[in-house]
Amino acid sequence: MADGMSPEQARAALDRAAQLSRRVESRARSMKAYSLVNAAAWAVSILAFGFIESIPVRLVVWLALLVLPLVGVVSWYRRQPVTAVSPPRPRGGWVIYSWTMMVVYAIAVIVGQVADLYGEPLYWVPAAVVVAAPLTILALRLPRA
Amino acid sequence: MTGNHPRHELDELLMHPVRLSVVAALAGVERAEFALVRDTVEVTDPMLSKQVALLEGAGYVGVHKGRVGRRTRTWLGLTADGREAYGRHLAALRAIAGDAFTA
Repeated sequence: MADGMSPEQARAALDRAAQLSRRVESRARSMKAYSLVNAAAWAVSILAFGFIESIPVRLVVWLALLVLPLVGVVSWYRRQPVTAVSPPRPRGGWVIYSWTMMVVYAIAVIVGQVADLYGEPLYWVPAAVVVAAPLTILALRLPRA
Repeated sequence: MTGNHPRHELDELLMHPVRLSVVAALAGVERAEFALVRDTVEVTDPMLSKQVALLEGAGYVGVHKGRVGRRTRTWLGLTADGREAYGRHLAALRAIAGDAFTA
């Protein structure tokens, strides 16, 4: 079969392959939205932690802000018929950004608690920005929604 | 003497137009749903299943099943071996087509 392949047939095969790749790739969704929603949820949750006085209310709001957006975006992502090859590759890249965010989050919460910074916007607002930074940076590096 | 001709670098499995189309469709993405690949390649379910089974057997394509709501879905994705084989096959096709062709 290969013996009979002419340059024209090879060009036609390449054209067809490129066309199919482009067509499917154009439908792909990366983890951009997933990362941005998570970044926002974690940032808002740390604000709830720092500003809501009642501990039971704080816990409920804090958990809701973490869990609900995550459930929503995971559900959306799983329904996508095509997912993009998401840089940075390998996939561990996403894990590194996530763990960085969680470590920053834990440090921010512990410092806020130990230093008794409840209700202090000069601490919690910058903390929320720093918590959101890793996944926001990741999202900016991803190709499309 | 004939061993240097680029046709020898063509992947036998990817010489089949449907299999080449399936691999090409998956080449630019992490994974794609079976139905989307079927519609893109314009083949029937049994034809796609048959060709995907061959590609899976060769280690070129991974098949993952999962549930979304009440529906079971099947996703297809190229393995590292599949991407490598596809790259080699494209390089051979380009060589046959002539150096000027850079699709």
